[in-house]
Amino acid sequence: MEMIWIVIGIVVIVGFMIINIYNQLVKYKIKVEEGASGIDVALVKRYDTITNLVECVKGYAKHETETLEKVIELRNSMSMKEKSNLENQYSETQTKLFAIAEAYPDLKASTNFEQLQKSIFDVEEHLQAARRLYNSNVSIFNQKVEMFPSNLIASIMKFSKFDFFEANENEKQNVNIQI
Amino acid sequence: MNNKRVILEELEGYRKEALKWTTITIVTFAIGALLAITGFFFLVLVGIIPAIISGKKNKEFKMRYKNYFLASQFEEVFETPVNVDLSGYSESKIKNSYLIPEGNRFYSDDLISLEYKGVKINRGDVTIQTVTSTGKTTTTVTNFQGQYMVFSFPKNITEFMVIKENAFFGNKPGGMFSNCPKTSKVEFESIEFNKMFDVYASNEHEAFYLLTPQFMQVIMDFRKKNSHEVYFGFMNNEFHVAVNTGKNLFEPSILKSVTTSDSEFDKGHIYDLKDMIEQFRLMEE
Repeated sequence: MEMIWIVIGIVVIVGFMIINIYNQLVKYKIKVEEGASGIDVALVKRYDTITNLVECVKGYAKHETETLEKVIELRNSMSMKEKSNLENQYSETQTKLFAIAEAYPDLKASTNFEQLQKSIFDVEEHLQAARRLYNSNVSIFNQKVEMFPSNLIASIMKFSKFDFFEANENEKQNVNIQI
Repeated sequence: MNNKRVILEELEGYRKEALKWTTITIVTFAIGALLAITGFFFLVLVGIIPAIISGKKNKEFKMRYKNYFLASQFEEVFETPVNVDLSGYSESKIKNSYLIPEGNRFYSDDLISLEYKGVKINRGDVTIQTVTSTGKTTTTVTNFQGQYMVFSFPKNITEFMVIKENAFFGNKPGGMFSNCPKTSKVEFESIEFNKMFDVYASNEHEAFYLLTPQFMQVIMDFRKKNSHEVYFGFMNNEFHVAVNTGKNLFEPSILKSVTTSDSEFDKGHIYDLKDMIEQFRLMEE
């Protein structure tokens, strides 16, 4: 009789452990998805500021801006790798625009351009924050998916690892845009 | 220079008056206590009148000393006008920051306000104690005594975040029935930073936006340079810094001549405050 109670006790404890592990996996999966959504918001803002910058520079240097590649808008179907490439494209376009602006002192002195510069800086900081938060949550989730005993529950419930949002090469080298 | 000498002489006069009446009070109480042994207990009460006068004189000297010295020393370092409020911070301002330990006794004084290179600065002394009385005994525990600074910040702060030194049992701000914004603990990429500090924020994204790797390094360096417990808070577009030095700064002594006080005045804390603006990059870029 005692054995039965011990077995029931062990089953209940193991049951609670499994539920707890499953809930943790779900919780961090949701946090990762929230983080991804934060990156999307930041990328949309980045797209908006880049297109505003293109318009602003175009007013002064139409010919040079015509040679730039069209700025791609964020799409819902993009993977994390594609979003990372998109961010690279935005950074490259931005660098080219600032390089073009160097030749036009009137443009650099304009209030609109100054305000865009400030807002670009702020948007970049928000994107950095979104990336770091996303990667932090991905790291925690991936650890749970890989480590014992949560990896057992993860493989049964078909939880798979997420990709990190990689920093672009320019940011890794700490490029400082001087105007 | 002549103006300073005149002011110092005037202050010295106030100091001597305060010292004179303090001496009279002590002597009167001492004589009264001696005579009380003979049975005339009421004679002790004779010391009350000089004590009241002495209290007023001391207060007046302290007020004039601080209004002159504090303002002029800060103005010398920052080269900008300074406002001195001897009553310090309001209790609600400090309490609603949920940054430093709470208590049932609050004292604050020497609130200095100025603006330097576009950064608004407020600095005051704060003491928070918990006094418990069992009837027979009264216990006073000082939970915080030090300097509390509030700066304007170059980034937009819409949420609430506090950074406290790592505590074994945790140090989440607010309690079950408090009005503190709901926060959750945030862990960052830096293992060293996570070991040194506990961060509680109402919005994780804003926590990462405000605490960049560079800013976290500055916070860690600041703590290593200070041998005292430090607290940081971000709220209402303000950056709060509290340092538990165990001291109330800038308190004058009636026993020391004003000229000596002037020459010995330690501007270290004022220069440290100025350095903080550069260290934490509080100026708009």
